[in-house]
Amino acid sequence: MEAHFYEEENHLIVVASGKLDTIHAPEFTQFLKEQLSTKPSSCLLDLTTVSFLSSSGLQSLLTGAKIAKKENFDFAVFGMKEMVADVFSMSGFDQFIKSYASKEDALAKS
Amino acid sequence: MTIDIHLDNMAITLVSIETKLNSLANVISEEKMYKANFICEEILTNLARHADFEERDPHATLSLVSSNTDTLTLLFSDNSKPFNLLTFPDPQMSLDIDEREIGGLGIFLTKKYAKVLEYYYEDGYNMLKVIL
Repeated sequence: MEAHFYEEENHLIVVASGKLDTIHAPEFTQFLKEQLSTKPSSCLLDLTTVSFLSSSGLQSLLTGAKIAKKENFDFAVFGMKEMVADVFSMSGFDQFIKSYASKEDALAKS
Repeated sequence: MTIDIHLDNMAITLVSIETKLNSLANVISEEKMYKANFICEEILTNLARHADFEERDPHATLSLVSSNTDTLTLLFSDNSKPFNLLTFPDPQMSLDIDEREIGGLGIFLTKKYAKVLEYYYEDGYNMLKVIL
């Protein structure tokens, strides 16, 4: 699990990679909370290189989405692989977190 | 093959399971492999966090049986207090984001991903059979 962030077109882009599982997700959640504490106008979570998402990883996403709602900024994800997207949608997260196929798509529509 | 589950060291346990599952990559599809890893993490994390072993020394195993027809059977056993996850209530998916919690999602998705899910209690052990 590795994570970093950068800014592009006024969006904070947080990049996660590897596994968002019970071992690694808590560390990523902490990283995400630290970045969101800067109160960006928008956060896009890049999941392009996330190979595995479990309910622990969903907790990371839920934490981010709740902070964004409370602080009133946009929060979305992009680049999910097929099974990662399946876990995301089967859990009903597509009801409250926008998702895009790619960064270009996310930047164009956010 | 049977794997001893070390509930006090989930990192080693999950790596061990993934390694065993990867050895079946020639007969099990990538999608099924993902679902197997997912279910193993959810079941074992749930066991480590919530199971009540009362006065017993915890003992848990996972048996993997595969066939060459992309069918994989996972058989979890543990000697904690009887717990039938098939009766565990599903999370409320329609709740607003403020009210959404993660609890129960792992079991919910395990039910969704399993073709067959059977629970029985035998000789002091919870037995959970998952066929993918």
